[in-house]
Parts: sequence; C-alpha cells; structure tokens
Amino acid sequence: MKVLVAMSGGVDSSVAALLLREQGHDIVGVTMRLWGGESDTGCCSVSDVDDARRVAQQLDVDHLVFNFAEDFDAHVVDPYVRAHETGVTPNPCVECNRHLKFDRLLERADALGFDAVATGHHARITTDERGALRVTRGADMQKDQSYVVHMLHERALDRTLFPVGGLTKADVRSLASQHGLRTASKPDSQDVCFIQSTTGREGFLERRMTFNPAEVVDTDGRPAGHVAAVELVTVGQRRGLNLGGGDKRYVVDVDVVTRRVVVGGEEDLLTNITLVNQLSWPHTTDKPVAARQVLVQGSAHGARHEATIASAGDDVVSIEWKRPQRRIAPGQTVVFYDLADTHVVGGGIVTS
Amino acid sequence: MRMAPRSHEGLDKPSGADSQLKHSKMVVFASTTGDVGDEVCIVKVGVPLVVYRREYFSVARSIGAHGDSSARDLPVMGIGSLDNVSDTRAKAAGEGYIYLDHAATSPLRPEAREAMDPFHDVVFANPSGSHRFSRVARRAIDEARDVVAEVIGCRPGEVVFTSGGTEGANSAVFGAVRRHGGVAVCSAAEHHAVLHCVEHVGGRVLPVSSTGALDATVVRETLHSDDGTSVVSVMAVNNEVGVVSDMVEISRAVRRRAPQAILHTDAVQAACWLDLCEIWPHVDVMTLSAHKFGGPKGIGIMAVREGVSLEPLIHGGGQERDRRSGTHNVAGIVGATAALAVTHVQRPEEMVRIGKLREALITGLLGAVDGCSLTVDAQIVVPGIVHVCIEGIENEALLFLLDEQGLCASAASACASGAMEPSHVLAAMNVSKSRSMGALRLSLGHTTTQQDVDDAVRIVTDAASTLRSRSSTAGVR
Repeated sequence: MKVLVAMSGGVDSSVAALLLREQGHDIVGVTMRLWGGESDTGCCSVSDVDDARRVAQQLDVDHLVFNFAEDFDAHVVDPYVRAHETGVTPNPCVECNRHLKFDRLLERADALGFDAVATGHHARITTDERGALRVTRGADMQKDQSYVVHMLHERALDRTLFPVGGLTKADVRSLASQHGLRTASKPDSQDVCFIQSTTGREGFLERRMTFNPAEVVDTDGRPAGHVAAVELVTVGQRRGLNLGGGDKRYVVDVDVVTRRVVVGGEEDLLTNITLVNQLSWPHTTDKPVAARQVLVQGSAHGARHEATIASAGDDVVSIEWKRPQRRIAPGQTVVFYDLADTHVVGGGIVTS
Repeated sequence: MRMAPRSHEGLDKPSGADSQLKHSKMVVFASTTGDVGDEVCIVKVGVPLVVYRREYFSVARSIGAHGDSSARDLPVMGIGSLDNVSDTRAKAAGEGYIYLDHAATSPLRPEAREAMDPFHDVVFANPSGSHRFSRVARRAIDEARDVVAEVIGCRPGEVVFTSGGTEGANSAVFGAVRRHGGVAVCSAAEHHAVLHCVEHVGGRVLPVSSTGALDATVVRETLHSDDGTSVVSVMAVNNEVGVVSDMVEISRAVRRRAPQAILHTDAVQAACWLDLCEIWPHVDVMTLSAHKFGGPKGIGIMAVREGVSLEPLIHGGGQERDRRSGTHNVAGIVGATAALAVTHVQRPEEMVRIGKLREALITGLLGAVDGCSLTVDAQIVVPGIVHVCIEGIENEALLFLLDEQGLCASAASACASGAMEPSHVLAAMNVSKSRSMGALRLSLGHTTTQQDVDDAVRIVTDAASTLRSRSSTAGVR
C-alpha cells in the first residue's frame, strides 16, 4: 500500500514509519508545517522537522514538508483567539487533528495518489460486530489519544493507519532505540505547539486580542475582587484570581459581555447537566435518538464518568451525569465512549 | 610537519620521504603553449580557456624538476572559444530525470570540476603564504580575477571573491549602511538575501510593477537627494519570474535622485543570460553566485567599483584587499571562474538555443494545461525561466507529482523547515492568491535539451489533470 506518514519529529510517528516500512508498504514521510511563528522548538519548529527528516533518511524513505500554515491559522489559531474573546476555552489540538492532520492531509494524500495516511497517534482502528470501523482506545491507556481523533468517521478511518496504537509507549521507545532512531529518547510533546513556555497563553493572546478587566463576585453577587483579563479566566480555575486567603474558591461562571466572573466553593462547581454542540457522530446509528448510557471524557487524558446522553435539539445533546461533576469549561471537547470504555461513540464541544 | 604528498593517477609516485617535497607532484601544471598533445585542448585564439585539467599531470613537470620555475609553467587562465567547451546537454540529471531547476542550481560544468581538481589536494597551500606553494595558489587566484574582470568588464582590482550571492548582497547593503549611514532602499521583488538585509536596517522597499520589475519612474518619484539614501539595491533579473530590470534607466534615476547612493545589482540570475559588461557601467556593486552558472556552491563574486567604500562584513586577515577576510577558497575561485568563462563564451549561442526551447515549453504548456498562463510576458524575461500559474492547482501537490515523474522543478523559495513559502515576489506583483498558489517555475540551462522540454510538457500536463481528476473525498466534516 502507498502510505503517506505524518512525521512530526517525535518518537511515535518515527516508529509508525518504521513499522510501516518493515511491513513492506511504500511510504513517504511528510512533516506538516503548521505554525509559522516562534515555538519552543524554534521558528516553525525547524528542529522537529530536522528530526523527522533525519529519521526518514535513516529509514531510507522520502521526506516532504507541506506548508499548511495558512490552514492552521484559519482553522486553529484564529478560532483559538476568537474563542477567548468570547470567553470560552478551546482545545486547539482537537481542531488541529480535525482540520489539518485529517481533513487537509487526507485530501492532499488523495490528490497525490496515496492509499492511506498514517500518524503516530496512540489509538486503534477496529471493526465492530456489525463490521463498522471504530476509533478504539490505544493499547497504552496512559498515552491513549482516541480523544483527539474521536471525530474521524468511517470514510476517513478507512484510509487511516495508527501503526503504534497497539503498542505501549515503552514498546515504542524500545523499538526506536533498537533501530537506532534518533528520536528514541526525545521527550513527549507537551501543551499547545504554538504557545511558548516562556510567555505562555497570556503572552500569546495579548498580542492578538484586547484584554478587559472584570469584577469578581461570589455566588450571592457580593464583590470578591478584580481580574485584569476576563478573557483568560476559565470555568473551574482556582489560581490566579488574587482573592487572598480563605476557603478554596473556583470560577463557576465567566461572562465576558458583562465582564463578571463568579466564584464559589467546590460544591458550586458541580453540575448534573452539561450541554454539548458541534457534534460528530462517526456512525449515524450512534446518534442518541433515545437516551443512551455512555462514558464521558472531558479532557485529553482525563477521567471517564458515567452519564446519559440525550438529544436536546438540533446538533445539541445534554449529558446527564450519573453523579454530579465539576463543570467543564465551555469550548472544551468532550468525547463519548461505550460503557466498556473501548471505543469512541461520538463527541462535541461544551456550550454550558 | 611535512605533508605527505598524495599520489595522482598517471603520476610517478614519490620515491622517498626525503625527496617528497622535491619530487612530489604537489604543484604541477602543463604549459599552455607547449607541445602537450591532443589531450590538452588549448585554444590558440586569444587566451586559452581555463583549465587546470587532471590529464595535464601526465605531461607536466614537477616543481622539483624545475626548481623555481614553477610559476612560469602555470597555464594561464583565460577565456577561450566555443570549440573547447563541453557539451553538457542531457548529461546532468541522469537517465529518466528532467532537470528544469537551473535557477536554483545549475549542474556543475565539467570545466569547473576539472579546473578545481588540483586545488583540493595537489595545490593545497594557503595563497597568502610566502613560500612557493602559496605562490602557485596565489597565481591561480590572480589569474581567475583577471578572467572574471574580463567577463564583467571591470578591473581585476574591483573583483572580490565571496562565499556566494547572499554574502555579496549582505556585504553591499550592510557594508554601505555601516560605512556611510543613511537609508537602504530596494525593490519589493528582491531576493531575500537583499530584502531581509534592507528590512533589517529599517530601509525602504519600493513597489514593483505587475511584471515584477522596478520601474525607474518609481525611483524618480520616491527618492530625494536629501532623504539620506546610501544604497539602492535592484536585481538585474528576478529569480522567480525571470523579468529583466532596465538597469540603465534605474541607474539614471538613482544617479539623479540620490547621487550619493551606492547602486548594487544582484546579478545572480543574470550571469547566464545577460552580458554583464553592459550592466557594470551603470552600477557600483554587482554580485554573482557561482552555482547558478555551473560553478560550485559556496563561492560568489562581487565587483566593487574603485572608489566605492563598503564596510567589510568579515574582518580578519585582510584578504581581498581588506574587503573580505578569510583564507581564499582557491578551488572554489578557480571553479567559479572556469564556469563563468564558459558561460560567457557560450552565452550568445545559448541565448538562441535556450530561447527556442523556452518557446517550445511555453507553447506546449499553454496549449495543453488547462488554466495555465504565463506570469510575465516572455519578451521581458530571460530565456532560462518559464514561470506559469496554473489556476486551481496547489503547487505543493503538483511538485510532488512532477518529482514522482522525474521532473525537477520549483515554485517559490523554501523556509528553514523546507516548507515552501508563499511567494513575496508574486505578492508584490499583485498576482491573485488563486493564481499564485498554482505557481510553477521551470528553469532551463546548459544541460537542457528538446527532449527535456517535450517530457516536461507531457509530465506537467498529466500531473495537472491528475490533480484535477482526483476530486477530494477526504475530510471528516
């Protein structure tokens, strides 16, 4: 099979390329240039591209760089900034997977005559009892990335390979080191690629949007303090509110329009219902016509909680938690899994 | 420490340690005028074509045999006639490949390779030294300088060897601003080697017309004698679209509006197609890059008019009359000069030959590829460059398919990661996004053949229609 392997310069995608080559596929490595600005690994992550290229050379496969920087700005960075302006906290990595790693790259792979795209995600693609393709949790639960690729529907999955999804991270590193790949001991990437650790989210956003001060009140509406940038405040946040000592207080609500942040105790953060829109259902049969029991995961490596999901309008579902849960910040992605916690059922973005 | 001499094919081996120096073939050259036999093609017309050919060694005499007379036996570097120039056509890229990326790098000319050969090991000495070996290396540089001066039409003393076109451009812009202060000015379509320097010193960037060329009128309208312009940099030929600047008119405008300014021209893409002697009288500094005309990489030529003072970019041992320090890259200088000499000699004939090939390429592409149009009228473009935009095609994808079919071409410049950047030249020309994303540059040169052109037309046509037919079914939305 002719496979285009997305090589980020990390160990997972290096080993993905290695495995595919060993399986005899005709592969070409590609590094997507996504972020054109400064990053922790240098301007447009040149050192990561170098690593990817050097690994490809080691495997004796061609390596290309595709410049998707404009698409990345349009689909990931700009929405990230706009979302903060409206007081929601987006997950750019999910959007990058949705729009760049799959949409854009699959489209390009098609145009170039490749049969499939492979990535180094820790997730598996399995066939269920009805013969349908499913995004399934990776073998290494600690590293599982099914959350960020939950939106892949069958037509995409049919042309996607996750070669390391069946391996543990330790296996991946050990394979890399057995084959002398230079990325064998490269640390896992952390955080958002376009945010530099030195300046952080605030430093990134302050050059791209205006911050507005806001009043902080308690759940009874009594003044509790002020914040300099309401746009940087996230539901569930506890630190950085400058509220002085006393009981632990959490942000339970943010309103950028009225510039008000509401804080309360842990109990005020709990909720029974969460609303989700911008849904993706890889299988239309999974759409909850009637209420459906699922496990819900609210962050990339977060815990799963039992809930019932039910349709709450056009492209909206409600999550009714079995036990009250801390509120998830609007803008965050939630992913639904089957009760056995093996495969993805669907997912969407929290509205409230 | 004594260097062990390297043995050379066809040479007598040195007989022993004590006589190493004496008998080594460290420095051996043929006489250019002697009875050297058929294998050495020396032209009697004018000066001989360059040429420290390897086979000379078999008929050469060593320093040892001739004592101090080594210098006398050096062949003279010079410019010869077409008879001696290799036919490099269809030999560069190898079977099954079509190389149409000469504007990025032109394949090394055999004359350059052969000229350089002895300077890697046999003539290894530092030309700035005071012993005989140094003198031989020094002589090679001096003669090379004469040849370069002849091709440019400048004085030998005005020639400075650099590490390449980028160093030349940096030397011109930074050198002028650091020495004279003032403002640097360039056109918006300059190569990044110039543009980024001008931007770095907070200079002015002048708009270009829709052809990519800077109009002299813009110079007249924007420069003023009291605005402190100290250097104006305008490329002789644009590296992407190939448009030729009217350096005569631009020079007139600069001299009138900013008489104190140093006028630099980046002539990197001009060397193959324009007679540099016709440009030089109008500028103060001209920069060239050897690998664009069949010389090696890492070597450049800068002509700096006598009396024009630039702060050197590189300080050190004071080589190149204190204008560019650093031990001379002797092999590079000799190779660059050989390539330049051959380019110069071949130019009139190549202009005609490549001009016809270019016409065939354009006719073929416009006739066969849907939505394909010339970016700039061929009348004002050098023969070596065909720049087209193919509507509705992403050139990143196109280049992959071309490469797969063995056609080496390019689109715009690449950034440090290797990703292609949107072209600042096309942006400056106001080419619409939908056209510029389908930009394709095919550049021809000394190895290009009619077969290359025919194959290229077929491959580009097929690739464009393949991309169009593979309508996307991908995506998760």
